[in-house]
Parts: sequence; structure tokens; C-alpha cells
Amino acid sequence: MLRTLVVAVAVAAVSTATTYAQDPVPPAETLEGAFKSQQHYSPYAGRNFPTQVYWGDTHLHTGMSMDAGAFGARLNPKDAYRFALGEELTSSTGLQVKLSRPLDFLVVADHSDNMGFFPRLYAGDPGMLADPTGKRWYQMIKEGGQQGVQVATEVIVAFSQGTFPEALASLPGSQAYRSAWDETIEAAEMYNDPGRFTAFIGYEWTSNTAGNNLHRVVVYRDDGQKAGVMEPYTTLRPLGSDNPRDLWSWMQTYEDKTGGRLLALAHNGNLSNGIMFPMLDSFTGEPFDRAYAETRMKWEPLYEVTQIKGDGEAHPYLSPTDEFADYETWDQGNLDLSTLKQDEMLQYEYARSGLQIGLQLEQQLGVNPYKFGMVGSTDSHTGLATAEEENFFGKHSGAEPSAERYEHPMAKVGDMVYESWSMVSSGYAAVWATENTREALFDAMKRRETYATTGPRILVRFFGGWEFEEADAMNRLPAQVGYTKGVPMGADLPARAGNAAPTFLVAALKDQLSGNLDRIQIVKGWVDGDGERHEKIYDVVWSDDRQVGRDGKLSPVGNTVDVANATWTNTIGAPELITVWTDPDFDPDHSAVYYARVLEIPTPRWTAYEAERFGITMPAEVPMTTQERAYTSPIWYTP
Amino acid sequence: MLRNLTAATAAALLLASPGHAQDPVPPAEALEGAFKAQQHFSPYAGRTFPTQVYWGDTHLHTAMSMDAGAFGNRLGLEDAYRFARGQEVTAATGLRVKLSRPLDFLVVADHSDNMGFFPDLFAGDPGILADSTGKRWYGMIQEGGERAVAAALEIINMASRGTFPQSLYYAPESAAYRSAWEATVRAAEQFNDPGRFTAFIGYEWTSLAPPGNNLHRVVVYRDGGDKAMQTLPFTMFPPVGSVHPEDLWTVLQTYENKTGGRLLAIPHNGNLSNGMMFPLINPVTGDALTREYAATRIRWEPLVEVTQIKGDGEAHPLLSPDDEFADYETWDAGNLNLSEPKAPDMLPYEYGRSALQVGLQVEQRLGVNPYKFGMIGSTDSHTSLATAAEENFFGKHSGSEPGPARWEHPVLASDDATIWGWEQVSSGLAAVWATENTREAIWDAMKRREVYATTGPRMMVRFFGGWEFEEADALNRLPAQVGYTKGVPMGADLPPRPSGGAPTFLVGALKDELSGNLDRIQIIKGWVDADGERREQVYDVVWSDGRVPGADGKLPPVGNTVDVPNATWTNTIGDPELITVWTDPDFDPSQRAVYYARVLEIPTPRWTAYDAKRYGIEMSDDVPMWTQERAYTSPIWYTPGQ
Repeated sequence: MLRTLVVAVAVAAVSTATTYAQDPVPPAETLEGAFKSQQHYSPYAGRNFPTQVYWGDTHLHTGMSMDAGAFGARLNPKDAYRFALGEELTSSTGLQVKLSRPLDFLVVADHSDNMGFFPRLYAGDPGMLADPTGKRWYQMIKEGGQQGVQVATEVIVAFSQGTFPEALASLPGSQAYRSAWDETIEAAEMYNDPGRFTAFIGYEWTSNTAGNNLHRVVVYRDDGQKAGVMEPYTTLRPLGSDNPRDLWSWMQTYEDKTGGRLLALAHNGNLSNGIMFPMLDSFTGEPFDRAYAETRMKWEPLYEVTQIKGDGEAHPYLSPTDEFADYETWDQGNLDLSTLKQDEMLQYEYARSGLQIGLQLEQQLGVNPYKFGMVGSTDSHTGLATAEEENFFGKHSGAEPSAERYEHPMAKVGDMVYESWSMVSSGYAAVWATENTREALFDAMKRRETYATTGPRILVRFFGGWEFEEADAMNRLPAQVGYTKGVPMGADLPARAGNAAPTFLVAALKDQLSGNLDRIQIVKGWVDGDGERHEKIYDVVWSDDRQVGRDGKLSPVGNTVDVANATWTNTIGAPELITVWTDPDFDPDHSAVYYARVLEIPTPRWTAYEAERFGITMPAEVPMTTQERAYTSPIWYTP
Repeated sequence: MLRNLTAATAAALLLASPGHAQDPVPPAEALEGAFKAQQHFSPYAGRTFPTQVYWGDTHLHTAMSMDAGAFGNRLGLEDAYRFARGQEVTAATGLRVKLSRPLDFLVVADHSDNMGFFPDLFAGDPGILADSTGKRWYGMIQEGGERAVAAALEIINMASRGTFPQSLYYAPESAAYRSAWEATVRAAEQFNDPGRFTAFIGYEWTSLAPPGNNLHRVVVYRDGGDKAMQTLPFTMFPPVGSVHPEDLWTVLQTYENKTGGRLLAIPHNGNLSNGMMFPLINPVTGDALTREYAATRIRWEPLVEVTQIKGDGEAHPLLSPDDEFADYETWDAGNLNLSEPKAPDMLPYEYGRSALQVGLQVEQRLGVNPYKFGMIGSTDSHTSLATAAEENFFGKHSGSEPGPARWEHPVLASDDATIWGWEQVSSGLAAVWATENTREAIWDAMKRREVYATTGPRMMVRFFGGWEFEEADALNRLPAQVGYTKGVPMGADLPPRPSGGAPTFLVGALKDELSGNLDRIQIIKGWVDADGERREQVYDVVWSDGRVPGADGKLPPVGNTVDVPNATWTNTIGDPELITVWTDPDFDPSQRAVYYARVLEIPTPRWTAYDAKRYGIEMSDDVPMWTQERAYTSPIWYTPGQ
């Protein structure tokens, strides 16, 4: 209203100065009623900013995914949505299971390659039985037990080695593939309920060249009408490709053809062996051009930074002074353990360094290809979006709860093993949106107004601006002041006014079912005058009136976990934390990126619940406590 | 499963011992697979107890209520539901308004007498224009301004004096009345959305016993429109209606017999009943209550609306002189129309706390407790806007919607007394622990009294009673699990006493994230002593900031951070959550007792402070500018020998 008023007055002034006024200018008094000030009494009326955070999983597999089906998942996309909506289900291994609270949205993201193959094999589809290998596999599955396991192994190995029988493959363009995609769409359409629950249409494009993970989940803003126009993009040539550029071209084609909207989220840079956030194009070895950066940023506003196969925010090798960096780290090698990890790969794998590399590339290219926001998701292959420690149903149906699961290897190559106890009960995507619809949630993802958690539903606000002051942290409507004086997570700082340093309003409220809060940190990354990457972690607000020690470190919050009973007490930590922080080391000439990390007090890890429930003792190397956390999308400063 | 197993084993033993077994008994090993233990890994699977609290208002008026319409409310049924569901609407006075968060359920409870009259008058319904008075009123309303106000006052006064023109009266069985009820039912059906939002069918039976004593009840249907449309609401004007609650209960019974449906009734504003709400002597007969009265009342009235705009009715300072929090938003000038001043001997029969004790006395005599009620709050707002938050308070009726002068306008006045605009209470809400958000589940929870009242904030409160809660239970990560397993929830009777022991209570509260931190949780015990006298005691059971009770046994006040000129405060005192296990230190197993929890917030700005700040006005010194919001749980009862 104010803006309208200013424009109108300016026009009137111009008109009176010249003689070209269309009508005589009325005296000001007669205009008094023309611009009524908006009557605001109710503080909640007329707000157009997001007031609610919506919780979801952008990355869930069902029995439609070949590997999930092979590992025993019998739940389908409809089951997955029902579970996310809060219904109690029977898991593939026969356990009753229910979320503590429903989710607000879900993306069923089954692998596009061979989508729908396993349910057809399992059901003895005539097309499968017509092929001798298909028939043999089907008979082995019917026998069950070790025979079934053998089939799973054969199927996975054949696919990963490129020896999968063509007659059995579910390829785009085939009747079988079409019906799998139709079933995926139909489930989303059935459970999408605007205002209440969002069922996104989506799939996973599973690029895995030489075992290096470049996976992307593709999310549709659209309904089935549009999504059904094209079948998903795959990685197998000639129809598909393992190069992300080809995925982006496909996405562009889809949008041109349908008028729809898509985005893609990459995940598990930690298993990419240095090619998730590279400085050079890993497919050509050449430096990137501006087009690469622009195209990547157009399609990939978010990164899935924490999930079952490891947390990807930071690595202790890259952040040696960050005592919280070594969190659920998976760094033995690439996805199939075919190549060992080398230290120099790490910087191109983790979100924190990826954000800094983005600043470096921006200096060279004028565009930052790694200007991503953050979400967490499960990547669960059970049809069950579980991310809570006390309710963790594992990576796949072979790793659903049992007295033995912790000691079964998830993958093993030579001496290298992904131990099942190292599975991470993580994470969820939190989205600040104006309503629970595909459109509003997608748009919030697109503008990066999201954050990641490792499972708990911690409420986090993070705003940046130039004039936040201490009193703003005491405001009873922090979001109101946040949006008024600054920008939310995911945005760029507004143009710098005067000589100020950036200020941030950051707040967190604990999940009522989870641990109290230890502290909020702001992580700053920047590129100095020599083009070098830097990072610094600031403790900005914390619980229990602790003092910062001589080494500049805040003392640990303590630990109340009773491992034997898999419980803890919220007698340490704080239920909520809020503060305003000003960057004390700001240099206006250096590009910088800031995000908040919120730490809970220690709580039992899923392994502790498992040990207690099944009465087992795990080896000493198995961690029994965890410090759950949230990572916000960053706010960027550009000189 | 365990019970099944036990029964089966017993049967097998019985059959095996004589020679009459139908089949040879198999060896135990062969039966091993027959009774698989239920596999429980997910702690959230297989839970049958309520895990969520649903928030609502059981008492909201729309323009369909004659007085609401007369006072300027033009918002109808649909607006009321849309607002409760979280949508932004324009209030009758033109202000945009929205709740901070949606409600989960709503009972639109328009006055049954003359329901629908005012919207028809305002619209110039031909039936009304055919009447000369109707035509005159319509003309005055069309003129607007003072003439319209004069018409409204004339209508209200005639209705309250019983001189309302018979020809215009919307009597049940008239076509106009039926269509008003149909509209009410239809709107509830339209907005009821099982699992997401519950729109209850309901109405208010507005009994004003001479000379103006409030005996109002809100009637809530468990049913859908197919049943609710089979009969019409009960009114108070004779010959069809009556002011006697016994007659209402008869009508409720008739409805249930006819339709197979289910109803309950919720009294409110005992504080304006001048001693008639929870009597020992039946005011109709002048005799002591009968067993039939007690049994019938408690069959229909499991709940009392204990806090709302027209005063808080939990406790009164004269009845509870040692309770420094008892004088909370007290309205005790007289009855509803201020035609009779309050006398102190009326008070015990008006307030929730004393009524619970009166109930124990009656029970001792009759064997049935007529006042074994749970507690909820609701707004009784007449604006179609269920606002109970201090920073978003839209007043009693459309004449007292936000404006710089509303605080100094009287809301009630007689020759003897005046109640001023600033005395309105921005209260309250009903919290219901139910298994799902449906009419059936929420109604059933009301019936079993698993509910509590708040004065507006949405603090989460759990209250369980039993005989074996222990300190460690307060640290359990799933307090409800241990609560339901070892005890009973709010609204229930303590299980039979094991040999020895005093009752133990697990009580926890979590602040409303938009409101103040918590000061303390108290447990209030009422009992009847050996002489048959009513007694009460307030225990502080858990509190914030490590305070230590003084020599007088009192906990020091929590402090006050309210910045009145800026209408704000800081949560730098108090606690976001409190939980403890408490054992009654004064338990006498021979005396019946009733226990409920009261949760106090730290001081926060009262709605008057927000008004003063927003309008830049100064209010007089007698206007309170801050408040200590609170929750009252439904009680848990102990009966000797049970």
C-alpha cells in the first residue's frame, strides 16, 4: 500500500508541474479517503510470508525400485503415502509400524532404471515367465529363503555389470515401463490432498558410473496430466545417460513440451569420489563454462545433505577444528566400494566445501553453480519414511529391525565393509511454505527456504540483513521482524547499506519428542583475496549459561544418555534458543556464505534402542549416542 | 494377547483333567507357534490411547443468534467455520482477522430462542415485513446509525422482558425456525471433514431463571444431520420451552430415544447464576437434590465451561482466601442481567472448584455425584470469531470489536452495577485428548472427560493418577505411555486402592510456543472431611527457575517481564516445560477426594495492553494490563472403598 501511495503522489506532482494534466487536480483534502491505511489489528491477518514449516521426505523408495524389491520390499507407492500420512502399516518383514506424527509431504522417488521390474517378477508376470532367466528367477523366489536371496544378488549384479537380460529389462517406451510410471503417478494423484498432504510425483535418476554416485531425485510441481506426458529419464544408453547435463536437457524438454516445472536434488556426494561438486567437469576433464553453472543452478536449487548413507554437511579432514564435523561419516570409498576414498576427493563431496567452491567458481564464471539450499531425506528402500532413532526401519527390507541387523554388512568388497550399524537414521526435509500444496512447497524449495534435519522436527528460523539488533531476538513475532528487516534462509543478503556488517536473526525450538538444544552455530564460508577457500564456525547462542574457554571453545553440553535403557533426560540443554549475531570478521570485498547449524543434546542412537529392545550387546565400536542436528539453507553475500 | 493366552491355557487344563477332552492334548512344544507374541518394535504402532490434543471452541455465536445479530454481527455460519479453519475473514466492523493457527474443531452454538430471526429481519424477509412492528424495525435498521441501534435495543429488551411480539417470535415448529436450524445443520455438514476438522452440530439453550440467573447450556451432537434434523432445538420460552434444566434433559432423552443419536450439554457462567448453577437445593422444587436429579444431570452434563469472555469460573477469592491466584478475571457483580447483586453465600454454588466439592457432599448423601464434571474453556464470542488470544481479541460481540473506545464502553449495565468493556476476558479454549479428529472421537473424549480448559494459550497438559507412579516416570521419554499403563487420565476415577499407599499423579505441561513460559503446575485437592465439610488445598508441585518456597510455605512469584507500553514480554523467566510426579502427602483413605491440575504461565500482556499500544491510548488505573494465563485439567476422583 505504501509503495502505491508513493507512486501516486509522485505522478500527481509531475502532473501539476506541467500543463498536460488530464483533469484539474483536486485539493488534497478530497483525496484523503482515496488511500485508506490498511486496518491492521489482528497480527495474523494480511501476512503473506510462510508461518508454518512442513515436514517431508523427498527421497523414498518402494518395492517399485528394482533394488528395493530385490531386497524384499513389498510395499508399493500407495503404501508409502499411507504410512507418511500417519497410518499404521505392516512392514515387509511383518512388523507393525507407525510414525510418531504424520509427515506433511512425500516424494516417492523410485529408481527410473528398471522401474517396476521386481513387482512384475514377484507376481509371475507372463512376460517374465516367457524368458528362461525370468522363469528361473521366479521359481527361485517362490522357493524363498536362500534361493530368493540368490535371485536378489543375481539381479543386482547383472544390472550393475550391464549383463541384465534385455528381454526382462523394464525400459522407457515399453508397456511394462509405462504401467510402472502410471502406477507411480496414480498413487501420487490419489494421495495428494491440497492443504493437508502433498504427494509429489517424482523419481530418482541413478547415475552411477564406475560406482561414483551422482544420483538426483527429480521432483514435479505438476499433476499427473503433465507428468504422464514423458516417462522418466534413465541412465542406460541409448535412451538415458549418466551425465547430469543430459538429465538437465531432458528436464528442459519436459518443461518445453508440457509447460510443467521440475527440479532435481543431488545426494550422497560422500559416495561420489570427488565428482559431486567438482572444479572441473568430471566427464570431460575441462573447466566449466558459464552455461554449466547457469544450467545446474536452474535445475538444482537444493542438495540432500543428510540421509541413511551418511551425513554430508562436513568432513573432519576438511574441518579439523570443528569438533562436530565427524558426524555419521561414510568415507571408505564410492557407492559400490569399487574405489577407495582419497583425501583430495573430500573437498568436492561435502556441502560445506561445495558452497565455498561455488564462490570460487562464481569468481571465475560470474555464476555460482553450487548455490544450493539444504534438505535431509531418508533414501529408505522400505516404503517407510522413518528417520527417528527410536523408530528406525533401516535402509532396505533386509535391514529392518531384528536382533541381527546391526552386524550384517550392507555392502562388502574385499576388506571394505559398510556395516549395518553405521546406517544413519536420517533425515527429513523442512520447508517454510505458505500452504501445504505441491505448488507452494515446490516454490519454497525453488527459493531454498528449506532446511535439513537428521530426523527430529526442530523448528528453525534464520534471517539475514543489515540492521537486526539484539531486541529483535526478544520480539514476540520473530518471523515478522525477520521478513521485514531481512531475508530468510536460501536468499541473498540485500544490497549493503553503509559500512555495516551483516546481522543474522536465528532461532530454534526443540522437537517436543526429542532432545533439548545444545547450541546454535553459524557456519561462514568465504573466498579471500587470493581466491582461497576459508571457513569459520561461530557459536552464537547456547544453553546452560556455559562460558567459552580460553581456547575459544564452548564446553560440551554434557550427556544424560542412559545407554542400557535407551533413554535420556532433558535436564541439560534448552528447549529454545534465539539470538541476533553480527559477523565480527566481515570483509565487504569477500564473497561469503552463511548457514546455521543447530545441535541437540546427546540422545540414544538407533543402535541403543536396538540393543535394549532385543537384549543384545554390540561391539564397542558401535556408537550408542548421537547429537542430532539441523542445517539451514545458506544466506549469501556478494560484494 | 496375554489375556487370550491365559484364558486358553486355563481351558486346556480344564479339558485335560477330566476324561472329556475333544481331542488329545498336544505337547506344549507343538503349540509354541500358536500364540506369537505381538511384535512391537515401532513405539508408535499399536497405541490405542490419544496421542494428540485437539483445540476447539464449543461455544461460538454467529449472526444467527438474535443478540449477536442485533449487536451488529453480519458474519454467518460459513464465516465462523472458515475462520476457525484458519482462513482470513473480514470482521463485522471491517477489520481483517485471522487466527494464529487453525482450530481443530468448532461448535457453533447459536441461541435456540429466536434462532435466525435477525438475519431475516436484516434481509427484509417478507414474513417479517408483513408484521407492522417488523416493518418498523426493518425501516429503522435500513436508516442505520442511531435509529438502527435503537431498533436493536428495543428487540433485545423486549426479548429479555418477555414482551417480544408473539407474531414475530421464531418459535420452534415455525417454517422460519426450521429453516434456520436446517441452515445450521447444513453448514456443519458442509465443513465437517473427518480426520482434519470437526464441525459439531449444536445450539445454546439459554435458560434465564428469574430474575435473570444464568443457567445456560450448550448442547453438542455426536451425530450427523440425518439425525439432528429429526427434532428441533429446545428453547426456553413457554409453552414449547422451559427454563428448567430437568426439562432440557427430558428433551435430550427424547431425542436419543427417537433417533438413536447421542447428545451432551455443557453449562457455563455459573458466576452469573447467583447460586443456581451447582445447587444443593433444587431451585425448582425447593427441596434437596434427589438421586434422580443427580443421576440425570451427570448422564447429560459431563463437562463445565469454566472460563470464557464473561469471567473465569474456576475459583473465587472469597471461597479460596489462601489461593493467591484465585482472583482471576472475576465477574461477581451479580447475575447475567445484573438485576440482582451477588451475595457471598451464592458463591459456593457457582465456581468449578467448590462445585466439585459440593458434588462430593451430595454423593455422600445420595450415592451419586451430580457435579462430577470435567473442565473446558470456550469463547462465547458473538462475533462468529473464535478468538481467545490476548493479541488477537475480537471481543464479546461486534459492538466490542477492536477500537480505541471499546475498553471504556459498558458491556452490561443496570441501576446497580456496570461491567466495562475492559473487563471482558480473552478466554478460552477447549483441549481434547482424542484418538482422531472426528465428531465421534472428540465427543467420546468429552463424554469421558479427557479434556482441559485454557484461558487461550495452547499449552499441552497431561495429568494421570494412579497408585504407583514414581519419580523416574517423570523422566520417561513417553510419559503418556507410562501414564496410561500405570494409571488413569484426566477425567477418570482412580483405580481401586491397593493395600496401603497414597495416590500418585504424573503431571506435565509444555508451553504454547507463541505464548509465555510456564510459572508452575499446581494440584488442587478438594475433599469432604469427617464432619461432611468441604475442604480444599492447593499444592505447588513443580515450578521454574529453581525457586525455594518461603517460611510461609508459599512459592515466591515467578517475576514479571511485561513491558506494558510496548505490549510485549520476554521468556527470560519461567520454563518452557514442566513435569513431575506428586504423591498426596495428606491422604486419608476414608475421605472422598477430587484432584485437578492448574498450570500457570508467567505474566504476559493482557488484551488491554495490546489495545492501548495499538491505538495509542491511556486506560485508567483500574484496568489490568497483564495477565497470568492458565490451564485447568479435568479432575481425577478418589472414592473410598472403590
